[in-house]
Amino acid sequence: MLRLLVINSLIIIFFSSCSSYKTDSQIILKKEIDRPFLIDTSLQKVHFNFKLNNYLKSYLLKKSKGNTLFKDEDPNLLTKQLDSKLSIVGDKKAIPFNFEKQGDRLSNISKNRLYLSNPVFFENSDSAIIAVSSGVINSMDSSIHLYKKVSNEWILDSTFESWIE
Amino acid sequence: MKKTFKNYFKLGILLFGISIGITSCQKDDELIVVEDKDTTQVAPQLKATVSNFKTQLKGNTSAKNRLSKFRSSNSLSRTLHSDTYNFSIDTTRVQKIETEYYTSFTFIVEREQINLDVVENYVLTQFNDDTFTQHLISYPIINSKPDILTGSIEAINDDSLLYAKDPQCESLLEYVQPICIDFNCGLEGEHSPGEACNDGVVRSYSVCSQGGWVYTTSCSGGGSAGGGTPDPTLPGAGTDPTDPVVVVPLVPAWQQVVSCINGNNIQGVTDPTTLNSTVLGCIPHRDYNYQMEALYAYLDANSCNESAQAFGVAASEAICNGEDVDIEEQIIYDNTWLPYPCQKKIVKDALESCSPLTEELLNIFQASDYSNLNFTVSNNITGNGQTSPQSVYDPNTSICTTTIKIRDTYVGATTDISLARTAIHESVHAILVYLFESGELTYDITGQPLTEYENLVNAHVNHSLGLPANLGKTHHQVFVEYVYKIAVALENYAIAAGHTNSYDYYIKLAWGGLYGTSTFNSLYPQYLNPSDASANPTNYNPAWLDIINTGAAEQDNTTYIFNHPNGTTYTYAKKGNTPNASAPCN
Repeated sequence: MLRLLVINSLIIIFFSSCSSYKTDSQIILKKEIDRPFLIDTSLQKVHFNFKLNNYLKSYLLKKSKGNTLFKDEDPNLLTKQLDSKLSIVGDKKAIPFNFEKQGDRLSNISKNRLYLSNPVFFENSDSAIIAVSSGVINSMDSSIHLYKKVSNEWILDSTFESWIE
Repeated sequence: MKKTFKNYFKLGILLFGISIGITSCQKDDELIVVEDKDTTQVAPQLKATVSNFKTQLKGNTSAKNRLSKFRSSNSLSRTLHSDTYNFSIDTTRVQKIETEYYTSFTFIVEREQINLDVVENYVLTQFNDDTFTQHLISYPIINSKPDILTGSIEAINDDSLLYAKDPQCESLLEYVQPICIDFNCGLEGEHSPGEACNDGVVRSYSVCSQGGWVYTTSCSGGGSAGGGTPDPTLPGAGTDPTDPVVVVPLVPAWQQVVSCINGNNIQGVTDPTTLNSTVLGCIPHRDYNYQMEALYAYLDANSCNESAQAFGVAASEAICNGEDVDIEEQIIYDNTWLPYPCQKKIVKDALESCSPLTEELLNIFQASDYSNLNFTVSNNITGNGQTSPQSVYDPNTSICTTTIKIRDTYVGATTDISLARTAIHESVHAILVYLFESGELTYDITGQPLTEYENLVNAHVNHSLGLPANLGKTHHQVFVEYVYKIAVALENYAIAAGHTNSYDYYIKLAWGGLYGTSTFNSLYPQYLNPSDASANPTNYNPAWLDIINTGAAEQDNTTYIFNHPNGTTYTYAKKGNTPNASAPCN
């Protein structure tokens, strides 16, 4: 009986942490969608995908070494979070977008794009980073965003590793 | 009275003594001057030039025959080797000294074992009667310069170095007065200093350095040999093969680079701002001759100052890593361009196209010794090109580097015109980054941003604070003002590359990367009737379509055909060339 209780408890802990990860991820992803990043704000719809997972993985494995932010982190463990599949739900502004397959070339030209990575949470779970690229094709604005949990709320703390196209 | 006379007598003796003393002092001075005259020689009338073998020995069959012991391993070899003498001579940098009586050719000696502390020269002297002498001269590097006084010389008596002609009977004397040597355009051609090279750029220059002369004495009975005079400045000197011959040390470009950057610390292992031992082991290689020539010309033009040295270190390291360095413009094309030699040439040509915009770019990175531009090819970017919105400071070299990345799949597939456009577009980002960082987008006194750059400055300030910043948006808003400048630069590149398109064509391409700006959307709305977006989505504004598909055809190196609902079939064919995969480039 006691054994069953322990197993049940472990299962509950596992799913609750998993649920927490998904919830925190959704919060951060939604915050990125709501940021006023659009080049032309008259165009409201945001076409997003997760094509920056490889970019963030590459950054974590190669370039994060000299960054004090990552001094207590294991890049290999962090990158594992980039393998899980995430989605954005319940946001009318966000439209999942696979630009290679959806729509024709011309109709895609003017779409506001939001390229994301999965949020990657640090070991202490109070910090997370996400790679973000936004704008219109060939004039995107990219950077890595650091989120911190303050008073139980995720807030954008800083940006780094920026690029402009 | 007697006492007074005695005093006068004493005074007279004193004055006499003083006058004798002064006179004898003056004589001493005169003697010193006379002695100086004996040792302080002035250089005779001569013409000294440095250029390549082909230029210096043009039409001189006799001298070429004399050099027949030196042979090249293949037609592209930059050195000639002599099995007899067991050394090679560099044919890219040959110094010719012409006097009334003889012409000498000085070559840099290359050996298997590189010696950083010594410069070795082979001097072939051709007298007017077509007789020759050969000397092998070794100058120790002292205080970063070849030292003539402590140099050693031996004559090569025809077939073998093993039989040197009484080496102790010849020695070197040094002129105090410098000799000026004219260096040709990239060591090619026959251009005077200040004269434009064949490409219109002035690259020939003059360097004045110490020279000396070969002092030949009779080994058996003293005095000068063969009745020659030891003073080459006197008329008639140099008419006999045993007469003094003027020599000026010819230093390899890499050794001049080392002397400039490392100074006396030629081993370069202790100071991070000097060339390290890895680089010192690399740059003497003959494959880098040309780049070392260019780097030394740059260092010399900048008086070998601290910032020029810093660039020299970065450039030397890049060269040794197989990267390409545009030394004149301080633009580095790293080794990611190796698979794309012709595409790299296109980017370089585009940036060097003659236009106000590219001139501004080159002036920034050429004039600012502390700012470099780095071009790289990347497989990890989403757009055609990217630019870092801030330069990265290297505390070792004190240089700030702005990096531009171009996507590999785009580089390998697009046309030359599209690639040139992207390179110019990204360079404008680099210009704006530099202008912001150098404070040129703000009023000097107040630090407030200039009106037209207000958003961009604020975005950069936010970015520097780690705050969210719409850098892309603000940059591209400013870019709208640059569209026509980009078009001019692109047109000038294209004309030089042999294209004959209208200026309007390049304006359409210049809008590339700006499709999201409010200005573009205002000038070229996607739909003339906004309701078409949902009701008739292919009823695009023809003007919008023209710009979008013109850019896409060049970008994708293809032809696009569009059947418009208005009944017209529009065809958009690319007009650029597909770059060759390898040299020679088209």
